[in-house]
Amino acid sequence: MDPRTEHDRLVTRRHFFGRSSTGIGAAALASLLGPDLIAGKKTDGLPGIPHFAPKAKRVIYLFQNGAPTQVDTFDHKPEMEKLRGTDLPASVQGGQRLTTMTQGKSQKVLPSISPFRQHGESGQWISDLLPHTASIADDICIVRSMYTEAINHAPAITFFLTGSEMPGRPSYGSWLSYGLGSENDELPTFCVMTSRDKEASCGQIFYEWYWGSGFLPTRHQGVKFRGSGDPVLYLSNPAGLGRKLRAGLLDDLAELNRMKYQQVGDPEIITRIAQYEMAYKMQASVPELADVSTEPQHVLDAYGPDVMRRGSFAQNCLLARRLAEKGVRFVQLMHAGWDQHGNLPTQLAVQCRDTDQPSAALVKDLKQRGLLDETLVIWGGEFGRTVFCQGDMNNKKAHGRDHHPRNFCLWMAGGGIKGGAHYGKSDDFSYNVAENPFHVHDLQATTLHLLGIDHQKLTYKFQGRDFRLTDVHGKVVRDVLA
Amino acid sequence: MTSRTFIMPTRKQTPPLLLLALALVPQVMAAEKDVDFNTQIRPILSENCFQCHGPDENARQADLRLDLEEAILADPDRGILVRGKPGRSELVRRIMSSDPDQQMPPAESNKSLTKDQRLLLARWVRQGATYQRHWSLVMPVRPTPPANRKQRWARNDIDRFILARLESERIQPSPAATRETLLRRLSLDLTGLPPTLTEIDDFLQDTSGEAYASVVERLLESPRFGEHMAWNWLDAARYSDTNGYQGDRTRTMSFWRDWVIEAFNDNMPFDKFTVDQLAGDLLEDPSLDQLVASGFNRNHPLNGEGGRIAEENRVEYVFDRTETTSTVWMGLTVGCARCHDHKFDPITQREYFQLYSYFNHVDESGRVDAGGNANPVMNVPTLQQRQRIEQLEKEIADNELKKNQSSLALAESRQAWVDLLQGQLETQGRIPGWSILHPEAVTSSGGATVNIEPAGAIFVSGTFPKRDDYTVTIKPAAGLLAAIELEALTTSGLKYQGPGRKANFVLTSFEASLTPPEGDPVKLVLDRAIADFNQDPLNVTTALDPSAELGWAIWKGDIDTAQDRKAVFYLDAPVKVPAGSTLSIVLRHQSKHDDHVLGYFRLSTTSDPADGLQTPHSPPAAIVDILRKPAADWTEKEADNLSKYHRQQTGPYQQAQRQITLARAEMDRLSDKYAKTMVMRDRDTPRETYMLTVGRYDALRKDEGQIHPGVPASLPTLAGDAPPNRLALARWLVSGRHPLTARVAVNRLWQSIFGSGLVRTSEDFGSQGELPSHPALLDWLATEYVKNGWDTKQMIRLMVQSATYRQQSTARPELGDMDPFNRLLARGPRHRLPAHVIRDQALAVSGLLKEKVGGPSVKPYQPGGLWADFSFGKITYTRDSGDSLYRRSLYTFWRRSLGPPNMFDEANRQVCNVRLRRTNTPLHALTLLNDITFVEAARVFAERMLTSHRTPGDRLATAFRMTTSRNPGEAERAILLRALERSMTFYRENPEQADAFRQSGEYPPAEGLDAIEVAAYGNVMNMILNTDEALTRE
Repeated sequence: MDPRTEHDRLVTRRHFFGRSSTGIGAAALASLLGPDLIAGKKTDGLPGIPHFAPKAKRVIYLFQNGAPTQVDTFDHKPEMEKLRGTDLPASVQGGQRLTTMTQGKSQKVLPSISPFRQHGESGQWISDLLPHTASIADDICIVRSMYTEAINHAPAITFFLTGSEMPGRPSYGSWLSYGLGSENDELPTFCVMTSRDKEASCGQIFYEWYWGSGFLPTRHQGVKFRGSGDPVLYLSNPAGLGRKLRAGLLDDLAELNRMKYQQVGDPEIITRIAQYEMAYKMQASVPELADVSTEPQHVLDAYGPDVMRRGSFAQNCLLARRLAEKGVRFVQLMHAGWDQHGNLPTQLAVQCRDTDQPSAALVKDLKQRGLLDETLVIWGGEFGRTVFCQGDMNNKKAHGRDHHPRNFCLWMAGGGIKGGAHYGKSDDFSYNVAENPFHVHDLQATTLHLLGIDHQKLTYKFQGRDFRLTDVHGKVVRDVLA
Repeated sequence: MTSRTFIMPTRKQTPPLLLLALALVPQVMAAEKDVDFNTQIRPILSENCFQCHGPDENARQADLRLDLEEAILADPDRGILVRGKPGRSELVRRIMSSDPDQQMPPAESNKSLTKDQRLLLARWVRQGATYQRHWSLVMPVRPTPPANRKQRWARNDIDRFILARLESERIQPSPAATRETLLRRLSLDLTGLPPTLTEIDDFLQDTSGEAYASVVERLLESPRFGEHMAWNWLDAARYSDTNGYQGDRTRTMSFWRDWVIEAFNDNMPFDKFTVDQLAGDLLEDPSLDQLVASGFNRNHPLNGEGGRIAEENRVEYVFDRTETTSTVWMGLTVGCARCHDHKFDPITQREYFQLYSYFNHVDESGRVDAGGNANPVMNVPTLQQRQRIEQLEKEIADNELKKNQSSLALAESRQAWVDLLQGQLETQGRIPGWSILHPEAVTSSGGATVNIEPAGAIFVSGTFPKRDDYTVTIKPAAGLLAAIELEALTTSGLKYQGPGRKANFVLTSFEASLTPPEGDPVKLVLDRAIADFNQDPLNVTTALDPSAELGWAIWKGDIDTAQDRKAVFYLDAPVKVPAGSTLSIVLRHQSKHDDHVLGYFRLSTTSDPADGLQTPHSPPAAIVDILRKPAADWTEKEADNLSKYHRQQTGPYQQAQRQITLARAEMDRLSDKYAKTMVMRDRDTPRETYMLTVGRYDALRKDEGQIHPGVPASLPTLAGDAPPNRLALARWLVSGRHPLTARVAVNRLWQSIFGSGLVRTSEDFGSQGELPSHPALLDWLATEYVKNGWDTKQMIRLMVQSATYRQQSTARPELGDMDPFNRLLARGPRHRLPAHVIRDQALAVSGLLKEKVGGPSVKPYQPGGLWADFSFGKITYTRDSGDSLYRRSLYTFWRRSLGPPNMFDEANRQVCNVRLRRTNTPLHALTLLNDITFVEAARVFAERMLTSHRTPGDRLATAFRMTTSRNPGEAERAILLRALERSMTFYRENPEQADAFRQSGEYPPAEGLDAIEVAAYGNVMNMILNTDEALTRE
């Protein structure tokens, strides 16, 4: 479409029809009319953004689908051992909402299945299930008082990634692409990769809206890097069409299009020519980026044994670092398999083994390259898990923990986050937030703040309302900032 | 309350800015026209003030409401607005203030007024601060089309409005586009497909004044029209072939989709289109089509996630229906009022739930409880099935006629029959043959209900055990007993017409015993059995052995099983039956096959061991009684009865009956294959509706009382006798008294023809929506739509016949500043085609397109692994082959969680979408260059050109013309030839690459063509299909 027409969607008020122009106005128009209206091309985003000096330039979100158990990983409650097998006191449970899976069933306390130890100079308590994460204890800030509102996976993930439980709002990365623009001229601004545990024991579906652009223009939606086939859909030339020939034909095409532009003067044609050029560049840059075989062996080793397996969390973590190096604004990794309702003792260790080393390796790798300071890494799921046991307490092969939105953990590193720190506190049962509650919208507000964005001011008008990532909530939690 | 609120005005010194502003006011006034509240003031207030001083009671600050004139002027003492006196108005003072404690809007609101806006507000107050109701809530009054200075330009009234506005801005309209461009534009806008070469030539050669109009008519009559129009309606209706959410199961709503296509093609008036879809089920005696149509509000996603609370889902669905219906018919974003009074538009939370209440009575559970569908559902035959049903119904009617052939025609054979039987009665005193038994009692071991009919036949119904034994007790007449006949009969009372309760049966044992009046039962030895049909190896003889697992069965296919069958069981020797004996017959069904039990049967006996399958039955006693009398003594009724009985014994009658039974059996079998479609159906007892706190399904606001169906107070009232149901709501929307419906509908039509609506925010006509660019034209169109009986094709005809539509779309840089978005339509709009049209175009020009309306969705090419990836291997994509690869995109299977990957920028069908989006990204370029869909089309396009034209120049020019509707210019030809040469050179050097290219897609390569040429031309075709012009509606 005519970029001016597209821009019309962005402009909130139109002096042309008696509405004066404020907010993103003439300046945005100018930037959108220019040749920079190209995904992946260096663009400055919206005028006035960043609102203040940013600490971080980009985000790598290691999203743990299925909800990791905080009880067995980061929320150390040694007293629980004494209460093993006893009923969770009603005063703690407090009549809170449960899923239909454990409603009305007995709630026996099941303490952590793994011992905890203190690590690093900071002495952070981390479970033995996560030895590699323990090795970056001094780089991460563990939030122990996360809470959310949704109790089922899809709405809860949607809440974390779009600020709303219902699908249809722009995702986190789309907001950043829209607000901050791109730092790179040959890769998309917002890249997504998914993986799951090898056993695929309890995976949740990866819905497209987790990286959708909602009502923002679709060029802001996440580009999915795939674990099989073309790394980006339709990236490869068709069989029998070599790259050199394609280059020549695209030149011919551009010439035809330029002639058209001279006749009809539609600036959209110029954009189209540029997008075809960009597509051609991506055909080279994406496979090059996706080819991890050029990495030195010690780097590969650091990410663990799965690193050479396409589509693994380990390889995705390595790719995330490579994307960060290229200046990609938002990298969203999603790893499924944490939903241990009935296989906690058997599956949790496997899940930790798949994710622990690559996550820690990524932080170390970024740090070693001097990128950690400007890259915010977030690790966490959509909610936590109950301290009480779901299923038969005495059958280790068939029990686990149910969904628990009231209190859980998440860690952040780099990009202006205070390392070797923790924030918030849960009650004795890791069931309710006891101190410094940290809401999903607070996380969004805080991380936007690190990118130099006032979360209340990054808005987009749709259906008569100014929408933002944090809906009408959220506050910056300054205690976690470096 | 802080000191920033209006109730505690602290009279500080008037800030200098205000003094300056007020000083400026008279000058500005002198230079400017009157301020218009709706176009100039309301947008400023709505954007900056209503959030805290608007309709939402709970968010209201300082007890101040700025959206209502009554409210603000009711309290003159506060001096918020003093008509004509900006200097004395608190509102003006606050917006001019630079004191952070005084300033409005306050800094933390992130809202601010520009200087122009402040001055405008001040001027408005000076001019009297008059309010107007929001424009879209006031009924449109049909305006008179304005007069134009440029008299000859306008072709119809649309143009008079457009031109008047252009003339007021001193802008000339653009010249008409070339005929080629116009034809391509029309074809794409009305049918979504480019014109064919013949259509282009015909149009260019038709120099009559009617040429354009006749093309418009041809396109409006094309079945492709309905398909094209249906797309946007499917977006609005959030149509999908799957449910969405986890599991994302497949549903069968394609019947509804096909109904939409047909409705557009039949030019169904929009009022009927509305009523059928919102409330077709509530119409009196609704047709199958009307019930299918009511599925509009069943197209929302369904959540089948484990652990979800069904009622929570159900409430979500009701929200969706409420909000979709409001968006589609009223352009109102009522969703805001789900949790609180609307902050900008006059819709309270209570009113939201009144609308909600219309949709809250659907007979549904919140679960996915009908296959992949959710109840209520209805069985619907496909078109093909419907055609077969009609054939069968006709066959049945024809055979019914045959059965009732006139008695006159049978007179001769009847006389011979009467003579024969009377002769037998005379000579033997009886009519030989099988005597039908009239059982005393029949029992079912499995508890089925058994009914003994007056004529002796036995019908089994009720409880349906998997296995069953029937014991039949008879008081036989005294005499000899030589054999027993079992007739397994067909009847329309049974599924598949019998004779088994479910077509076939397996009679594992047939036993008989006789109990004399005083004595013990004696088992009768049956040593021989015959049947007129045996399902090999389930021969009737196996029923003689009670221990055998086998038995008598009659399967002969789905339909042919439905025939009367009989078997005869012979005693080893005839026995004498003393008077008063009891005959007991047991029919056992104990095979390994479930449900294989007789449903309708009859038993007869004979005394003559020579009787067999061909031996007729003795007529019933009533008939014999008549026959015993001479014909002369028969009453009219007796003669009739005799004649009727005789007719039933004739071959043609029985043949016709047989055909009827077979036809019915086929209908039964067909109905098993009917797909289900979701429809609307309300419960017998309505649900109680309550407001919900922040939309939580279980947070009922019982304190607010029950909510009953109703419409917002800011809109017209319902008809006085309106029932509290959806039908009343639908009729209210299309009553012609509603200010929004026609405007919103006609605006969407305008959007589909001109690329964007007169109101650009086609989903929001409220105070936060955009104002119409041509308010009078919108009102004229809206009133015209109602006036012409909601004739959709007529509205489109009007739009495309206009001179406005026919303008060329070439950019006009001189208007850049004045009209950057072409809202004034001083030129034709130029925009990229939607992805689905781009695909259809490629299929059309290559000749691959299969034009067939309707049917189940198809699965064309899609990169491997996409579905498996997102669903962890639970759902895999099995691509279709053959014609299904080349159907229009409308028929592509739409998975809600993951739409077809090449349909970029299309609505995702999660929620209602009425607005189009068009972006321009490298991913689109990759799709159009590399997707096999387009590569195959280019290859087949090349083969087509190689076959039909001889020189490279002709081939390339023709392909270019087929795609763009025009001949390439000299320079363009040169580039095309250069591209061809480039490709030829490459493939001559890499012939194996040419072979690889030639294999692209499933469509068989054309015979006798050189692979190098096919590949080289194919690449140029791919390039032509990627030109900006090919992708653009000019």
